[in-house]
Amino acid sequence: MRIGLIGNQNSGKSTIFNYLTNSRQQVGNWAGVTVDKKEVSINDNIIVDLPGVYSLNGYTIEENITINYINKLDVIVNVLDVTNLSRGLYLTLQLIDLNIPMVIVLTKQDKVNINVSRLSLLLDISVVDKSINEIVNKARNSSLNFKCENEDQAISKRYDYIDSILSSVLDECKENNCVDKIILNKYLSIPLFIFVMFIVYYISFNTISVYLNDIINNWFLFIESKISTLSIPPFYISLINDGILNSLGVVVSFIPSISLLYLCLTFLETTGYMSRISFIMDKMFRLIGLNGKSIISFIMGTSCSVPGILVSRTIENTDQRYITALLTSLIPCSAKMTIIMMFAKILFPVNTGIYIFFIYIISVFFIFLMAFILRKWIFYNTTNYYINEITDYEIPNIKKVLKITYNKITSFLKRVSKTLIISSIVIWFLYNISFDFSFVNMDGSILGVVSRKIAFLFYPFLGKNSYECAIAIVEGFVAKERVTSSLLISSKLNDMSVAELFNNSVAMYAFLIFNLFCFPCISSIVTLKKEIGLRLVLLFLVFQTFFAYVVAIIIYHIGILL
Amino acid sequence: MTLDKVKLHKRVKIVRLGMCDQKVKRRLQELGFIRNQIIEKIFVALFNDPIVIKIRNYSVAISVNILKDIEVCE
Repeated sequence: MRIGLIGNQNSGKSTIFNYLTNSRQQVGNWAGVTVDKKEVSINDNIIVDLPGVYSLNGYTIEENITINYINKLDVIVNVLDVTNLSRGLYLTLQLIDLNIPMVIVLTKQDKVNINVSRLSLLLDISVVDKSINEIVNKARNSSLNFKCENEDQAISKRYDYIDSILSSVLDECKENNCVDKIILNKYLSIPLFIFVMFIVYYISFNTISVYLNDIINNWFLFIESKISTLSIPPFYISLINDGILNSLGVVVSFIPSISLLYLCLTFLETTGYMSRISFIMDKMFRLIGLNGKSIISFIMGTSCSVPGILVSRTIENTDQRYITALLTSLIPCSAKMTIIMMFAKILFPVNTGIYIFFIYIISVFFIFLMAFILRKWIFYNTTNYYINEITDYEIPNIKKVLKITYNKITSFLKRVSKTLIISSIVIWFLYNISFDFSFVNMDGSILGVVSRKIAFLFYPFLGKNSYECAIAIVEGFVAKERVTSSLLISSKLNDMSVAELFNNSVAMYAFLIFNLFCFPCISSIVTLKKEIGLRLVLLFLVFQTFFAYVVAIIIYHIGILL
Repeated sequence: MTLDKVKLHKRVKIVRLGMCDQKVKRRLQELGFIRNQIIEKIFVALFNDPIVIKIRNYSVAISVNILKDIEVCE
C-alpha cells in the first residue's frame, strides 16, 4: 500500500515522515524544505514524503511533483498544521474531492486548543495519531463534496465551509508576533540582517573554532611525526604523510568552523527567520532578475550547492528559477570554504573570521553583477512578482537543531572522505610516477609534465607558469576541497609552504577569486543539468569561467600596480 | 481603490481581483483572497515593496505589482 503525506508547505510532513519511518529527512521552519519526493518501505507499505502544496493547482516544480503523484496513492495522510488551520483546510477539502481514502494527522497541537473530535465529524474523516496501523485501518472516503462547474464558486464554497469549521473547532486565534515589528521594520530589517549574518560568520570562524582548528592541526602533525620515525620505507612514509594525512588533516581541521556555521544557519532556519529574509531582500533581488526566495537557495548553498540548487524549485517564475539555480553554484559552499580558510589563514592570521565575512560580501557583489548580466542579455523578458508565506516564529528545539546540524556534518564528512582520501592517493601517485611507470621526482611525473603544458593558461593572473596551481584548478573540477589538498601535497613534495607556491599575495587573491567563480564541481553541474538543461548550463559554465578569468586578471594587475 | 494604496494597518474588504495573469489570480484565491474577505496591510519592506498582508489569521508577503490589481473597499 502506497501512503503519501500531503499538506501545506511547512506543515510538519517531514517530521511525521521521520517519525513513521525512523528516517533523518531534513526539517525546517520555512516553505520548501522538501523539494522532491522521498519513499521508504515499511513492511508492505511504502511511505512517501511529498513537497508541500497550498492547493491542487501546481505553481512550482516541487508542487507539481506532489500533484502528479497523488493518483498513485492508495491512502492520503493529510498533515494539518493547527496553527494555520484555515489555509490547511482548503487543501483538505480539495483532497476530499479526489475520493482517495484519507486520514488527517494534526501537527503543532500544543500551540492551539482544538476540538479534534468535532473537526473529524465535520470533515467526515478520521483524525489519527502517528501510527501506520491506525493510518491504514482508519483511512476512508469522506461524504463531503465541493466540486462545482465554476472553479471560482468552488473556492468560495470551500472557504464558506472552512469558516463554519473554524468557528466550531478553534477556541482562540493566534496573535501576530510583536518581534516582527523590529525584524520586519522598513528601515531596520536590512541592517539587522547584515548584522545577523556577520555574527553567524564571526561565531563560526573567529571564536572557539580557531583553537579547535589548531588542536586538530597539531594532532595531525603529531601523527605525521610519529609515522616519520617508523622503520618503514620512505616511499610509504611519503604516501601516508604527504599523500593522505597532510590534505586530510587540513580539511578535517576546518570541521569545527564548518560545524559552527551549520549550527548557526540551522538555528536561523528553525526560528522562521528564513521567510522573513526572503521578504526583506525581495525588492533588491527583483531589480536584478532574481526573487526574494532566491536568498534561501543562496543560504542553503553555503552548505552545499546541490541542495541550494534544488531549493530554487520553490520559485514560480521559470527565468528567475534558472538564474537562481545558476548563481547558487557560485555561492561559497563548505568545500570552497576550505580554500577561503586556507588563504585567509595565510593572508590574515589575525581576525580571520572578519576577512572570511568580507570574502562573502565580495562574492555576493560578483553574484549580483552576474545576475544583472544574465537578466540584461539572456533572461530579459522576465516578469517578476512575489508571493510568499511568512511562517510563524518558533523557539528552536535545541535537540532538533543539534540533530539537523549533526546530519549536515556527517553528510559533509561522508562526501569529503569519499572523494578526498582516494583522490589524494591518486594525485600523490601521479606526482611520483612517470609515463613509463617508474618512480621519479615531481618534475618528471605524469602530473608534472601534463600541468606544465597547461600552466601558461593561468600565467595572466598568477604571474608565473605554476604547474602546482594549474593542477589544483583542474582538480577543483572534481571537488572544490581538492584545490586545498592539491596545493598542500604540491607544497609538501616541494618542501615549500603554500604561500611560496605563489609569486606574491596578489597572485593568491587572484587564484582564490578564480577558484570561487570558475566552473563548479561535477555534482553541481549534474544537478544544474537536471534542473535547467544541458545547453544553458554549458553556456553558463563557459561564461562564468571566462568571467572568473577576467576578474582574476584584473585583480592581479591592479594589485601589482598598487 | 487598489490594495497598494491602502494605508498601513487599515483593514479593508476585497472587491475584485483584476489581474490578467490567471495563474496568479488562482493562487491568490486559493490563499483566501476572495470577495468580501477582510485583509490588513501589516508590514512594508524598504522601497515600499513587497508588503505583508494579514489574511485569515496568517501572513503573506506580496509584491506591489500584484497588489495594484486587487480592488478593495473600506
